[in-house]
Amino acid sequence: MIWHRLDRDKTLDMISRVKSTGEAVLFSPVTSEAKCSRLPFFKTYMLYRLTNFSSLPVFTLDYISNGESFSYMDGSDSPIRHMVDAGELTLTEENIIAYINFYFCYVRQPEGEMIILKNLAEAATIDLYDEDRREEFDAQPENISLEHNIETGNFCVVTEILYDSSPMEAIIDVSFDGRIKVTPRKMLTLDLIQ
Amino acid sequence: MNDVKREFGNLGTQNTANPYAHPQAAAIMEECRTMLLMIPEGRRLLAFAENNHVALHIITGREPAFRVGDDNTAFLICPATTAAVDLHVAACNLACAIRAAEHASIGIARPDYANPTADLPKITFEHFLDIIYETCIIAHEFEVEHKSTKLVDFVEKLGHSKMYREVSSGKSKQEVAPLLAEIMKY
Repeated sequence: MIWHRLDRDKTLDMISRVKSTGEAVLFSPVTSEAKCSRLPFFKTYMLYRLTNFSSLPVFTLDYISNGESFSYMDGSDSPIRHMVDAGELTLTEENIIAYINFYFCYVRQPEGEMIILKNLAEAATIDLYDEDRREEFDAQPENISLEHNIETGNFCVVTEILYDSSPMEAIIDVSFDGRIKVTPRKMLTLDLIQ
Repeated sequence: MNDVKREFGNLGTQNTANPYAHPQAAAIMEECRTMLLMIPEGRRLLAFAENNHVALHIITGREPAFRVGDDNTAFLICPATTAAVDLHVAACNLACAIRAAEHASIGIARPDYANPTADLPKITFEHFLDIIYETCIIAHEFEVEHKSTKLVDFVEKLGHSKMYREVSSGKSKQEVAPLLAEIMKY
């Protein structure tokens, strides 16, 4: 991701808009930095990150925002629903993988962690706690089949994913309004990976 | 994933008044405390938190984690989608948050990334060594006392399986330090 750091005034403005009384210690203007990054599937809203260096470990709070209205990424898909209601979400064949990567990164699934693998070999070495890897929204899988139903706007992606630590071939159905359903199709064994 | 006794459902609606407030904060805290009371180190940490007035808060966030503010307020972070909350991991994170708050009283310096000094790498290493060692202790006590390996799996997922084996065999924090130093390239 390409981040653009906010200047001091914009950082303070952001803090004033997102801080809460109950968690005031997390919003220290002195020890916080803010930055933003474009997302290819939102028309105008961007991903904003506030980093507080005084907490342990260093604490980041992420939001989808247009610079004035901030939706906090709380692990649910509520912020994405707000974007859909605002007409912000535009899914195309070019950005659908980035959207799925973003969704898996920010919406916690009951089934556990999920991430699209770049290739089968990555399953043996990937670190799900590597933030840089999780935020590679543009990472394109080598093995993928993508269908886009022009009439409904829905997508069907078949590719290899890590599904709660297990490598799987999975069907990822994405509706026109960004709802995602993952159906594991085939477990991938170590023999296949090697 | 969610083995909580209660039926939380799938409460994903964001609280617009305070988006950080977890809709099931009280229930998660109660469940985490109940779990920690099952092991000696958990009981010790909860007693420390109570005796030293460590404020414990649960907030929403995309990744289960913990944070300690510079006023020793401990935050447990749980996804707003409660069905995705793993209680063992949440309880372990709560334990680590209390342990991080305990550091000042046991001579473990707090890394200050906002005002870095020359010994920041050393301080950072010692901070994380203690927290990871504590995580291994918690996981080991659940395994020994309750035959539960869920946190052992968690520790292995974090990449600390070697350290866990050493800690569970009785090695001290200083004896396992080289393992973490290799991972952190310290």
